[in-house]
Amino acid sequence: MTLLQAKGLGRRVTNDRWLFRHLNISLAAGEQLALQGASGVGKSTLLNLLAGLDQPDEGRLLFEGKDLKTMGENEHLHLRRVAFGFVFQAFHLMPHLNALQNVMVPCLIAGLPLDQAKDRAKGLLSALGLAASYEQFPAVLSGGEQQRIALARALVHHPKIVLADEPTGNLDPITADLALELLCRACREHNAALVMVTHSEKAAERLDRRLVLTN
Amino acid sequence: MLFYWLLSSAFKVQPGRWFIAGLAVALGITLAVAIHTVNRSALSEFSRALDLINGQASAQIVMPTGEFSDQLYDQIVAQQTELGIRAVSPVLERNTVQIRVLGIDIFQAARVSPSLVPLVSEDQNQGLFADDAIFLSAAALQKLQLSVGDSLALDYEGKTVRFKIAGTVPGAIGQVIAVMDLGLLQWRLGGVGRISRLDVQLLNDKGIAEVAKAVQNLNLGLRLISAQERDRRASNLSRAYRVNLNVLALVALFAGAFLVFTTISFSVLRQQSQLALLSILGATPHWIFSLVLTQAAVIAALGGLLGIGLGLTLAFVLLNMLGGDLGGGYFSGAVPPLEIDSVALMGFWILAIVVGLLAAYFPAKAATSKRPTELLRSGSTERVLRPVMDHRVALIFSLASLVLAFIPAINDLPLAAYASIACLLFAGLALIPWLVQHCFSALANSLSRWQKQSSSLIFAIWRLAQAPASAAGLIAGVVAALALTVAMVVMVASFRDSMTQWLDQVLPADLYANFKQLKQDNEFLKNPNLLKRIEQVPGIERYELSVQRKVLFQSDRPEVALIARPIQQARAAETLPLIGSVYPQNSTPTQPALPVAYVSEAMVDLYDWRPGEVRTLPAFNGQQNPKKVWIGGIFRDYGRQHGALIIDLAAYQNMSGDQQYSGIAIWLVNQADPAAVLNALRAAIPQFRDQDFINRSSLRALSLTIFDRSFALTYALEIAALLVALFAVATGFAGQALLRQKEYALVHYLGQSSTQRTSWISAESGLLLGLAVIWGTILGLLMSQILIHRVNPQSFHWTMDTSVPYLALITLMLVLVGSGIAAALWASKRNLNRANLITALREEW
Repeated sequence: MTLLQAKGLGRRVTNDRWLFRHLNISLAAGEQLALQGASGVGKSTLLNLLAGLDQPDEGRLLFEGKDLKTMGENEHLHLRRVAFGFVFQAFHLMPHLNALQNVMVPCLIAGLPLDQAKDRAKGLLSALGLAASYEQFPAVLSGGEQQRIALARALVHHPKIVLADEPTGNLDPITADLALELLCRACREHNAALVMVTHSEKAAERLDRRLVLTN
Repeated sequence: MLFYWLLSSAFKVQPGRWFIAGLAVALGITLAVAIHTVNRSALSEFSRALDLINGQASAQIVMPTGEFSDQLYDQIVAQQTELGIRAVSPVLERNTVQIRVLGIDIFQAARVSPSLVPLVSEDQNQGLFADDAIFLSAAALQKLQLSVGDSLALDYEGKTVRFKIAGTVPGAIGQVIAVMDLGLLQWRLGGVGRISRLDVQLLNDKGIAEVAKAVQNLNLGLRLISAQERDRRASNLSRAYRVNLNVLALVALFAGAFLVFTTISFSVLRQQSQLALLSILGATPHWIFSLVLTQAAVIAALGGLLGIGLGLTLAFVLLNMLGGDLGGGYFSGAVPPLEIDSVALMGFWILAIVVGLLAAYFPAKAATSKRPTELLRSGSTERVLRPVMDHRVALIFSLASLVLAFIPAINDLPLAAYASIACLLFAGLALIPWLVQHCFSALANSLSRWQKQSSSLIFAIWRLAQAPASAAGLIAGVVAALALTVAMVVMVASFRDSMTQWLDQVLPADLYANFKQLKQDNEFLKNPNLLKRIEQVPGIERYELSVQRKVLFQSDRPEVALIARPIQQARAAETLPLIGSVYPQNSTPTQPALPVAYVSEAMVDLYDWRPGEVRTLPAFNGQQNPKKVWIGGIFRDYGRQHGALIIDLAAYQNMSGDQQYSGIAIWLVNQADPAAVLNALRAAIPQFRDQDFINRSSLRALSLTIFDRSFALTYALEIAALLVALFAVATGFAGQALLRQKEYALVHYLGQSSTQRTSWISAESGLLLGLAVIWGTILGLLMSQILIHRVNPQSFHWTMDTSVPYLALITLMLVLVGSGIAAALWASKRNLNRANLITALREEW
């Protein structure tokens, strides 16, 4: 079943210059797609469009058959709360929250009861090897640990798709490899699709298929 | 060059916030400069007036109990060389309704006080000693809108006397006075054989102390007062009040310092990656430290300059609106000209810069104490701010406050008590992060059992519990301003309540009159048959005559009020507002009972007149034997901060020989109409026809109006301090909104709606401000106890009972929380709109 579909997607830089145009993508549930291309080619912009945070200049984006353009603000919010998970290159953990609280944030925004959010977060952190770090704050954790927390945060609310922008860009090769392995495995276990922007060939090879953007 | 670029870019990024920080410093300096300038202008004018009225005499001889016989003058003149006096000039003063009149011996005045010597106008055919000749200063002519040659009617003690203006007093520049021959004044306005004071010039080789001792040794009851002592007395009259106002102005400056602190802190936080980068590129910590301090110094210096300009303008306005005593009721007369004290202005400017530097010191220290790589890590905001406030510092300041609270007044000023308040405030501020952390952790724990909480509330509590230093920086200004405001509000309310109770006790009669219009030595007041007619007036139950006069106990202190009224010793506790019990006197046949005097609290503090002791009153009217009295108790007196004593009227008349009265209190029979009774009284006794009477409720209302007027400036300063604090909250939250843009963007990304964000910000700011107002109020209540039990007794020598205006405080707290939440929401709306968040999100991808 198609989860996310882009039809003739285009985004303009200026009136007479297109960043990309006539882009067609189809992503099935649980499928993993690598997004590659040179710097400035529009990978991050495409990720914004897929997340519904930005609007395309032409074409349509369908999520489970529903056009994102026709959705209101509340539907977009709902989609981000329940269907999307995000992983950032710079992790973006809230510095004043401990590991457990950082992971609980999406559940709480989605309205889950406190205990339920806590159980889910603990389960995921434990599965990612961070059972001893519930109470730790981001400032004292290593880059790899922070990225695993960010990964747990992306999956805790059981999203249908995870959008990841250079998730291993800030990590050393060994840690990056481990993080990537965890990300792919966790997405598969949760049957979440994955769209990952990456410059790494090695990383792209791990995923089901790749899309290379060119000028 | 790089220094200048960074400095100017810091200002350009957020000009509005820097402007408000500068304005906050300016506000504090404005108030301090205005109060200082007004006080200085008033005191200089007062001193100048005294100089002129005293004609530049180097000293005066006075009778502590008031006017004295001219026979004593003769005795001084007879021995003046032995006493060390070169020349003596007698003066009699009469304060008429229109103008103050000085009677002088013109020949003697020319030697001792030349500025009082009148000049006969050439076009007047009138002699210096004509029986209606009066001379007016230029200011007096202007005030009364008269010219030389005009006639002038003066009203004094119920009679009107006509004079002709025969010339001017050229030396009395700027003073509203009239001068005439001493004998003429004694004859025309009353006081034959009486003198108010002797102006003296000392022999060159004689010191003041030596001559003063020689005068005292004459045992005439006279005392020599130097010009310096006289100036000190004038200054002492309002010193405590002035110091209190200055402290309040500094409070506003202190609140302004918090605004500078938050502005600099947020500026440092915004620049920390830039500063870290500079550090990595080789900038020394000292260079970065100087950069941060310079930002604060520049803004504080500009704010200080603005404050000085505004302060001088405000001083000019205040002098013209409230007079030289800022509504305190200490001085009266002409509006003093503005006197600019450039040394003090420079001092205030330096103070503004020091305040700015102090406010920036901790953020600057924090910016340079961490390794640059640490500053680049997440969570550094909290680490930058946390060292600023420490609960161990709170403990040290609390102990210091406790010790200082028990130190007595220094040089008659409650300096230690003020220091105690400052230490308590610092302790309270240093404890804020600890309080925020523990209160909100406890709240988070207790709410964790409640499963269905809104995410906004959870995020708010987590944030507060786990980033207490950032939160503390936001509310420190509010806590400081509110604590000081609550302290003043409670003190003023306690004072007002105690004063209201006191007024009820000291105003038991229905009608009161001061015999200003009635000639004091009017035969009517000595005629028992005429006095009996008062009681025969329908509606009058009884009456009491009283005497009030000023007695100089110490040359450099204001005079003490001596009040004589009928007191039955057995009923003293009921008729006087006594504090504590009456001290009975043990008399024996060989040692008869002494007259009993009751002293105000100020007498105990200033002159050590304590109950159960025998004390000596200065001689009355030149009688050579000072009188001993037994101090029977202490009474509360909110009317006279420089001391008062009450003595039974009969005992006073017996010891002083004084048969004059200065006032009357009349009790009416039940249901009697005061207006009708007064009409009947005036019909029965014609001497009362022009006498003003005031009923109890009007007198009470008048007293409270004067009270409120004297605190008008205090209220204005409190409002100013609170406004500065609210500015600090608004700019603090605006800074937070910018600093936490990524945080808000992230949760927006995770699906947080704008409604959820609004309730998060409302909950966080509401909870934080709730804690701030509760803590500020607790600190304020503690400070009010220092104000009530230490500052007031040490400044004004009176005590009061605490009374807390709960409704006003709760209203104040709610208004602060409400306006704080509104400020936070406004700041977030301005800085966190959807476009900003999307931009922030784009930057993060």
